[in-house]
Amino acid sequence: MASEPEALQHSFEDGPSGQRLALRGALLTSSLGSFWRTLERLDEKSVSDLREIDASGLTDFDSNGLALLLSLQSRVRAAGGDCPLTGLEPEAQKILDQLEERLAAEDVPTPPQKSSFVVAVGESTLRFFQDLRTLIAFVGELTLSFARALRHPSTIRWRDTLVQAELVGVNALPIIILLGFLIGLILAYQALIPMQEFGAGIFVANLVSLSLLRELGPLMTAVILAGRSGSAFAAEIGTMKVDEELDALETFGLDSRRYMSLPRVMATVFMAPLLTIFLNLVGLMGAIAVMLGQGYAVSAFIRQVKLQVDYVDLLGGLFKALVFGLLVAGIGCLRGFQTGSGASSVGVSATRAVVSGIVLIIAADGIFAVLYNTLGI
Amino acid sequence: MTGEPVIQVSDLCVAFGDNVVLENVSLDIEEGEVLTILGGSGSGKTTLMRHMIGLREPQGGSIRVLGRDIARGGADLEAARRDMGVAYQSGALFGSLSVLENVCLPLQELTDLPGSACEWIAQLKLRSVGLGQALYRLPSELSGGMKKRAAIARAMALDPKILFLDEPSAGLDPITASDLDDLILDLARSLGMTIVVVTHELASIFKIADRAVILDGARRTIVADGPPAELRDHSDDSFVRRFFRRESSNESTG
Repeated sequence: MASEPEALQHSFEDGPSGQRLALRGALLTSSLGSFWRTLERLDEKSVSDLREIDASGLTDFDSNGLALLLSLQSRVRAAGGDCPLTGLEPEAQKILDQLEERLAAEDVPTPPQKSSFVVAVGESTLRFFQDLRTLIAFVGELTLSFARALRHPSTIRWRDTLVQAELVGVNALPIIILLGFLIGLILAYQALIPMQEFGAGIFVANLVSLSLLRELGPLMTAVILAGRSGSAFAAEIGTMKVDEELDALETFGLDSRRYMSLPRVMATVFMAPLLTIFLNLVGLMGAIAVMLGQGYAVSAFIRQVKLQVDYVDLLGGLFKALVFGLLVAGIGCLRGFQTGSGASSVGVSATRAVVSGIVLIIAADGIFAVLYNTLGI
Repeated sequence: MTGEPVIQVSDLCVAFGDNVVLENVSLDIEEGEVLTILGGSGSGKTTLMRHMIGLREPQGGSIRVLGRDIARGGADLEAARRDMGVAYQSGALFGSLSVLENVCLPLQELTDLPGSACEWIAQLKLRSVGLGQALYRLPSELSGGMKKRAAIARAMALDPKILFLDEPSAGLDPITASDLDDLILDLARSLGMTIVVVTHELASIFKIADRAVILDGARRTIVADGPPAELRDHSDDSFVRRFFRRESSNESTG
């Protein structure tokens, strides 16, 4: 509806006492860019030589345009000069006065300094250890409430625990089966190539069963749990925290940490060994599929498995799975409780839950390796 | 200016599924006017505003903003949006950016201003809403009222011709709310900005509004239109009279 605004033009004119900047046209946000750049390129000397800004030729203006004039004026003042604005419409003058008043009214804080590399490294190291301490404290707290709950089973919220068991366990079964079968298959296939060269093809059964039951079964199950359930716990609890639902629980007089984490941790602790059994089983089936294709009998495979592994291997693996389950669920809940505020923080918590979960699993697995070795298991 | 209304809503009909919210709403807003949209909860105030910004396509009627038909989206809507600034009820600040960066964002994306200029302007806008001390804070570190003021600063960043404010002073302390009213008046009086405010605050309505329209959720349309003091003193409509007598009593009817 309005006609195109007249383009902004400027010229520097020499006067008796110094330079004069004359403006013509429209001083609007949309046309400020090149003029502002020109002003930025002015050196100190020409800035301090500026004696007057003549705005009488301006046909239109907005407050961003006036902000530019103000910025120029304050630069001139900083350089020790002074350059009054002349010919400004009274309305514009009024806005300018207001802007100036605001500038004078308070000092703005300085932007936060980016810390140096050394400080950053120090700080993140400190954060890492603080985080580790919180984690250990949380797992301890959790174990205590777990033990208390087992002593008084009536205090356990069974319905919630069963719902979580379904989410963590039953719903994870398809991916556990797929992954387990493929791991068994790939392991057997890769091992078969070199072992057949030595005529030891049948010992693939020993290799697959031992590595699955003792190591890969619990490990892969825990990794899947970290990706599926740990992140889900963190996101769910994190969202509840952002929406102040956890505060609501607290004001009922409930311990929100215990209330939220106990059913989840319990469900995961019980489901992790169960899922591991499934993964072991279908992993062996995957290996059998490969062996059958190479002409070995199923009975021969099973005999080799029985010779190689016993219940100690199986139970050792399942105990590992149980501990992994505790760690994954615990860290998932903890990251949820640590969520800051805002939409992005929930995503951050979920990611942190998965990453710390996997790191913890690997670390715990290392400890188990040493432990089992010492105990001769 | 040609005297044509800045915003022209004609026979607007809006329904969510079977639920008709607005029926045959017509409204002209003149340049430089401060218009408040009033009504009980659920009477369609925010819905009306969302249509003026072109966030929803109406079931019927037309909406013209600055001479462009925006009701059906497309290039006209995009062009009209360059001249609109909107401050949402909850603030809708970007959580990963500092307050200053939030205000800088439209300046950086939509103008050719250098970075330092964007920061200078953004800083002035934030000072004008009293957030000079909070420039480098993240939205998550602000109170509800501060978020709202930051959102208003962001809406003003490009010096739009029309400013839409959704409940700007709800939840603010009386001093900040009154400062905000002064700011709105300044923008309208000295820059000729057209300002559409959806609000509940009676005190601020009488202070800032040139004109008020009242929506009645039961009748699904505008039931009163005029200067607020005149509506309060001379309206024959019982709903309008009750509205001004005790605004909160509308909650049940809205």
